[in-house]
Amino acid sequence: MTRRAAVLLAAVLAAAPSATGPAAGQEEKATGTTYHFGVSPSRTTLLFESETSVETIHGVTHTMSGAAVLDGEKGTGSVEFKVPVKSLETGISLRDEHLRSEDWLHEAKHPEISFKAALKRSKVDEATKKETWGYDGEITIKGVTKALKGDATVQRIPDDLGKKLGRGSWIKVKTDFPITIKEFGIEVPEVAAAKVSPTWDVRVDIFGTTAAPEKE
Amino acid sequence: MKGLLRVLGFAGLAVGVLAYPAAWGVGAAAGRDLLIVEAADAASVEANRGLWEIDGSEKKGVPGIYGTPRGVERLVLVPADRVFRPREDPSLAIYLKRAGDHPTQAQTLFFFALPSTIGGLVAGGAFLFLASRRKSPAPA
Repeated sequence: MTRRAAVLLAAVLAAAPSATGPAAGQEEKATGTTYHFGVSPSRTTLLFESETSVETIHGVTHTMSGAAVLDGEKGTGSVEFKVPVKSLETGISLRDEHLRSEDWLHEAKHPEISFKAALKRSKVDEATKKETWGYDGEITIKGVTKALKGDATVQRIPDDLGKKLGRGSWIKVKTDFPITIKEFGIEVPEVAAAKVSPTWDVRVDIFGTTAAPEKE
Repeated sequence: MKGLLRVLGFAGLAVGVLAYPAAWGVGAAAGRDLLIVEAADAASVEANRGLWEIDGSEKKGVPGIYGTPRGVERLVLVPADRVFRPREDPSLAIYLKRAGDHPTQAQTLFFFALPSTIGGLVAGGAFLFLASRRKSPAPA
């Protein structure tokens, strides 16, 4: 190769779009550390609660899949996770069947509840390694998608503690928000009106790890 | 037959009259206000305790060591060994809720008291009415 040809080739390569950079018209891919959720049921707790004067229904699932990408330098990120409807439990199997039925979450047609959001860090406590991340995204229940905004507490777990939880570097994420079930096309039948609240409180208390889940 | 109807009638009235006092009595005598915590496994408890210490070991954070706190509720007929007092704050009375647990809530007793009252009074009244309409057997 002549010197002139080598210079020309270098110029062409420099002008070409980077293989890792975003192409024109494409959304920039989130960069940062990926934390996987739902790796282990014992590290995953999602609670939902309906409170009336008659009864407080305590629901829970320890099953979810998804991940958050957190860019510690920029303070931005994204999150996406899914919860299988069939994993939701209230402590009474007959009631769980009702919850999965057509009148309620219609598991046969809408087997998953999903959530995705953009993240922006708003606060950092250096002493406790606790950070507040705002989320602004969408939740889909029974095929109906609604906006969901809120704040989550993210705490980085020191390596010596994290080792006991399993592979990778760990974080703990906590948040809570209310869900008005009518907005998702779920009408409480009159017969259950005294026992089921129109608004359910959801509490998320999960560990995330940089180690990807092992494929089955 | 008349005697049986009268017994059923008075029993129904008794259920109707006593349902609410019974619900209140059971709730008061056998009920406890407990903080319900969705229990975490041992490794998570250890990690949570470490984070709690980093956070400054405040008492308000103690329930979170053992799982995900839900709130205080009055539960009835909870065995004594299910009431957990954490060493970090023994003044707390915690019910560690595990998979499949469905403790009876005091408020649920009151829910069942209303239909019991109405049902008892209506059925009791009906039996007594039927008893009053039946003639006593003629003396032999």
